[in-house]
Amino acid sequence: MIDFLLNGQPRRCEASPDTSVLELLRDTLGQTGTKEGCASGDCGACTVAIGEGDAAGKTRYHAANACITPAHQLQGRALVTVEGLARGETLHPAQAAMVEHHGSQCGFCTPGIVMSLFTLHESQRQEDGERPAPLTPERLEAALGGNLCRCTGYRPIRDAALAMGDSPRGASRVARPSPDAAAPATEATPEAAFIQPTTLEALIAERRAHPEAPIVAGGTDLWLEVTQRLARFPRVVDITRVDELAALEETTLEDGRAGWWIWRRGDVRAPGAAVRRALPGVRPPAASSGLGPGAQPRHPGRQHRQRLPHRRHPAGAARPGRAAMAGGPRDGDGMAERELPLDDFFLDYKKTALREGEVIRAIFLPRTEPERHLKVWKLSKRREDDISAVLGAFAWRIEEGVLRDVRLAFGGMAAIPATRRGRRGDAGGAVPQRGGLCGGPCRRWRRTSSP
Amino acid sequence: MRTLTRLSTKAPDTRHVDLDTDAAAARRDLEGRIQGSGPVARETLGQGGAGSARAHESAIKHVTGRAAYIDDLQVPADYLHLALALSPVAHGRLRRLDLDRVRALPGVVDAVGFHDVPGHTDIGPVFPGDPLFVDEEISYAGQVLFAVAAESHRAAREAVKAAFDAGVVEIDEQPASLDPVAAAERGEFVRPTHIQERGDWAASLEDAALTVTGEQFVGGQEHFYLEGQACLVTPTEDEGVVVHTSNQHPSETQKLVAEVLGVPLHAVTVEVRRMGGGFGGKETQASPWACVAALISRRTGRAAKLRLPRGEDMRVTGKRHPFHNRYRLGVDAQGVIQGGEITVIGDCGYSPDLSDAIVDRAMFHADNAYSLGQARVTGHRARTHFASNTAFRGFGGPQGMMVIEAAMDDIARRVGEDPLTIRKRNLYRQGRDITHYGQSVEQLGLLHELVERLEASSDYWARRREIAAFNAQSPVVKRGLALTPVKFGISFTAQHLNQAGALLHVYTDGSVQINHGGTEMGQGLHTKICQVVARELALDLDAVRITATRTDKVPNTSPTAASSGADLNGMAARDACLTLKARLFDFAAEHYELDREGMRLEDGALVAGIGESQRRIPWGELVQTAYFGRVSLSEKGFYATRSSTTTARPARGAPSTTMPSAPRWPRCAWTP
Repeated sequence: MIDFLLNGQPRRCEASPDTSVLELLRDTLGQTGTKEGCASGDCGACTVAIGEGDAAGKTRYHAANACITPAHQLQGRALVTVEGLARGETLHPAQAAMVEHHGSQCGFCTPGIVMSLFTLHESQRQEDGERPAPLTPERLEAALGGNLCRCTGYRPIRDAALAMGDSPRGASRVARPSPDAAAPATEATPEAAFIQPTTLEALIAERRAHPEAPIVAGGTDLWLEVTQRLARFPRVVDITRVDELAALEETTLEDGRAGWWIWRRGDVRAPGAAVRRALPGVRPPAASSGLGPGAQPRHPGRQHRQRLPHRRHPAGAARPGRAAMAGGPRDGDGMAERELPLDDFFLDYKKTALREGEVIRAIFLPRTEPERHLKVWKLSKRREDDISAVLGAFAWRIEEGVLRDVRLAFGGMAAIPATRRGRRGDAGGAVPQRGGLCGGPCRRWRRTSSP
Repeated sequence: MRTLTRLSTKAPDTRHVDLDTDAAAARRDLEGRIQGSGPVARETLGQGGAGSARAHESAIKHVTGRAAYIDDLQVPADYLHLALALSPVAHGRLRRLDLDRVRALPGVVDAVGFHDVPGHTDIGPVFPGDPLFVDEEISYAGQVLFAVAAESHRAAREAVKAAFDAGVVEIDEQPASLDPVAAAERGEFVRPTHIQERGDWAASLEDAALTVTGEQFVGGQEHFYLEGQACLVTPTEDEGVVVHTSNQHPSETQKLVAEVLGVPLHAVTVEVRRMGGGFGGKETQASPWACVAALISRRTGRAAKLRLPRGEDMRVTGKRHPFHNRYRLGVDAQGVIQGGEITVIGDCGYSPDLSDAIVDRAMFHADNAYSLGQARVTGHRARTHFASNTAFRGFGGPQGMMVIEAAMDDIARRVGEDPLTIRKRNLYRQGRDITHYGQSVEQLGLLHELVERLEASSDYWARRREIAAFNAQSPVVKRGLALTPVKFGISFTAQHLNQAGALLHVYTDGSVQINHGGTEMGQGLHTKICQVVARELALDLDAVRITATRTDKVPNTSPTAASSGADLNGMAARDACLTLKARLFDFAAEHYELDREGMRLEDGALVAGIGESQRRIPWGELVQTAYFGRVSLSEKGFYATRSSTTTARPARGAPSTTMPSAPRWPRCAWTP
């Protein structure tokens, strides 16, 4: 049973654990305003807003792709759909601006775009109050990067987004009681269950009892098994509500390296900025505007996949660091933890060093020393919200004009991320040259590696 | 093939561009249109919002989620969901298909294949070649083997999966032909090659100062309409069906469904309220799904919905035609083309579909806006084992233009001039105004005028200098700049399609409903048609409503395609308005004893006379009175384009050649 608010109205629905929010809306509730465009989390036509009550009792919304969001994640949340924005004949500013600026043509992507704009508008208002600051291009792109439109060429949508801020608040407010953050988790039955542990201990206990049950956070990978391959999951473990996994902790390792233990985004706006300053080549997803996914798959919980998913696709990024695992199959030994260098974590395509009953506790992202350089580039068909065809990460240090500590990593080249350390005789020691960073070593690379 | 030559970044002496004598007139005309003082603007601005920007007629429904697409429609409780079983191989023979075993699978209500079709099994839109289901020959990966009906979308898809797992399909795979150039060399075509030829092209190549040759590949493109292919079919109490479909060509779907079912066309009604995007992908390729769903619907007596999951949609439907183009052109020392030959090879996929007209259009646009001189253009329609490639925005035009634009850049490199200079020198001009297919290009002045205005307003030469400076500094990342014209032929090359109908109803409260043969796919056609009617009847736009496109309201319609929807259907709607208006005027003149001369509709009223004797009768009153006066308040409209004077020229030297007629567009649009 799922208890949630749909456009302000309490709802109680029954659904199998592998039901998506989109199926719940369209098939069970008959709310057809939210569209299915691709059923893969790529096009954004199904975008909805999911609200959570924060500590201050305010509702904070994030945009989500309904097609790959598990319906049971709505437990205790406030779901807002395109049908729930207007009050009578009065449109929400996001809707009014879209009409005014000819932002819809065929109209099929429009509900999703309206919901992305709604989420943007709400978050702007929460941060800036009555008079929101003008939208930066970065923020606009981050908000709309997950929505495809085939008709307009985006300019009218962009115009609408920019004009939306001028609309006075007031009549447009949706009646939205704050969701009940303390709502009980979904009841489990022996046959079917959507398990939402809130502690690491409970998560590990669940992993040990049901190692076959897949873990889900954002569903960007797992849910494609449902929508594209018709898989059935009678039991699913949702890790988005495990408090210990919501942390981001600045620390220094025993070997003296400073950095962050990082899990899902949680509320990392401020630390995200710190990470960005310390790692100029990496854009933490919370602040990303160009390299990362669009807003919908980037919402809290979805970082799981971007960071270090259990069901890892090899095309993603591998960043230098360490993985910490907790759990393991032994009985009674609640929190056995171990750490691994990230290089040793990936074994083969979608196979990792995780043991039965283990979960990823965190990954360590080392701070870049001031003299060290880091660049990360991604090649993909689409700038936003696309798995990279190839991702290249390049770290180096220059000592008296000579390259030192060169480390290269590529995703998308093989079954697992390919890394190369700059040993003597490799790139280390070479003199950087214009038009060819490292001469011989790169030529060897070119011979031995191709995507 | 490409020789990089340093380009001159100096603005050329513009004196060599001898502007046509009518350039000044063209400029004045253009200014007038843009600023609203020209004849066109004067005519259109005003009542009913015509000539002004209005919100899309469905805009509020779009942004509130109320606009219904096929999968959103209310359905009978017992409706069936359909799923398709697709060929996993590109070429082969279907050795065995055991549909009885499929029908016995859990959750399966019905399954149909080739031998279950009561009527036609070939649903090729123009030429035969598209079987509804595979009989024996499998021609592409994704071709439909059979269809399954079940109680839910998921159950239907699962049943297809289970059927494959159970081994109901046995296929002998054969080597696939996937290279259109090789196919063309082997003479494997879906339709015969066409040749367009003017003058002694071989001699002009021999005599030319320079020869440029090149070869290019223009890639295909998925339509990616956001709403995938979808239809909902309900059986009627007669032998027919009502089809709701996301479809650019309802009349063709009506015909094909009727033929597949083996019933007359009057038994089938097709309705299209709106599409979530079409882009050409739903011109011919929305019909098969309606035929399959109609078949199931008639067999089971239940409504049937077929909507393709995105992945399947991309596999079963054709795309933009990829093209392989070659050119060999003779140019003079100034870079002006004297003649030569161009060959385009369209990758048509496994069947003709619309490829004949698409490759023709690529040929018609192989000159873009430049005179080819004495030239021969050859167009091959290669058959490969891909989904049948189909209409897509531009309909072959862009693929044809690409070849001459590539040649322009090549010429610029060879001659050492800026590409814009070369393009301008080659534009159609007086004395060089006959195309390679024999049509005389009109409005030459406008073409030169537009290019020059853009050259100035874009600050082309300053940008060129800035980019050259940047590129000199940047060894890896380079910037580029191009200004290219486009000449595009509007309307159908198949002459009979250039007709349209409309149906106008005025109800007794004065509200107006208009129907027409065009379909709404986001381009705003319905909004425009409402504007046309509102203007003709001098009403507010709100008084006019458009409903779905239906084959039982306006029959025998043409596809909404070829950039012709608004022109053809708008004129048909106007025709209906004019007829009805005349009838109302006749009635009013007699009933109210008014002067018929000078009678007009203005601001929601009939106005007669001038000055002291002016009478105004509000629209609502007029309509009411006319109704009680037993005057029909309904009217149909019709429009057909005037015939072009262009005649086809005989082809030469190609044995299996036919010469298509030139495109007969009512006007040429010059779109820089």
